[in-house]
Amino acid sequence: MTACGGEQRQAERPEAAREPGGAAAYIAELRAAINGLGLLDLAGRKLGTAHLDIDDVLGQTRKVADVMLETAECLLGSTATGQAYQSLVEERMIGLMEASGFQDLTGQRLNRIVHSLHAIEERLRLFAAHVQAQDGEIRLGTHELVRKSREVEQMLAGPGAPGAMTQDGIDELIRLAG
Amino acid sequence: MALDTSLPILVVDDYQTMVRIIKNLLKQLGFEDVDDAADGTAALAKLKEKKYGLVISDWNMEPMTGYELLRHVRSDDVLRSLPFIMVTAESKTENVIAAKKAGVNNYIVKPFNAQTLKAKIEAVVGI
Repeated sequence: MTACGGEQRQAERPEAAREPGGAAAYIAELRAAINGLGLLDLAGRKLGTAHLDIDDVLGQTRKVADVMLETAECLLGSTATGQAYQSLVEERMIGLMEASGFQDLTGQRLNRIVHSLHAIEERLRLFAAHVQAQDGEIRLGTHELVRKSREVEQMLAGPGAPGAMTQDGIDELIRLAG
Repeated sequence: MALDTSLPILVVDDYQTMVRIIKNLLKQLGFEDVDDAADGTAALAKLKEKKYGLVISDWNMEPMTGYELLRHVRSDDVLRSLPFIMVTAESKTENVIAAKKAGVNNYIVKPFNAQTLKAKIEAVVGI
């Protein structure tokens, strides 16, 4: 049994690992490739800060949406007239212009996230090429499993992808479905 | 087509900004009696407490989605005929068909404008 299992594992290894003394060299090379991934850096500096950056972007966009809504609510609900209304509009417009500065901050945060994702993708590609990886059965974490089951059962797939149905298309579908 | 602006409306969305946008648009259309709930579970509780004339619900919410809320409403003897509009970013054909099969009265895709909201409300509860 053990010999059979051993032969099978041996057969799965690249050529170098099957040569005498090759296994140790292969393991050392694999270890170097894994270390080259910089897993601690990925988990800490790349993914770790990406969460913070995304939270910040969400917070910033929410704040700006609040400013815009407050402005609209204030102006629509205002009973001021003439010069008083003009002053109110000017004051609120300046507030909107100030709030528009959020784009600079969120842009910087999003750029950092994009760079991190590129770095992660590149390191994974290099690692995959180095070890001649082939996808087997993918092990999903708890978060992915929950998400996947909800996607299937409740079609919780997030905002429609580009090319998804338009309002007119949906209206026609609803009409046809009776 | 005219709208009965005394109609009590329940807006269901877990994103407070969207709730505020829809409530403001409804206010502009003349609706004053507008409540909100942050997900399907909270909405069901409100629907049991007060008689609403229309539900405008998002699809993607946790823990109970708008789709699940719709199914609950349609299987409830008291609520089954309550007009229900889904307002969502879910614009995939299968989602629209699923919502229609579950009994949705109309379906609005985000982002939308005031005119679309008005037209859909008129189509569902216009007099």
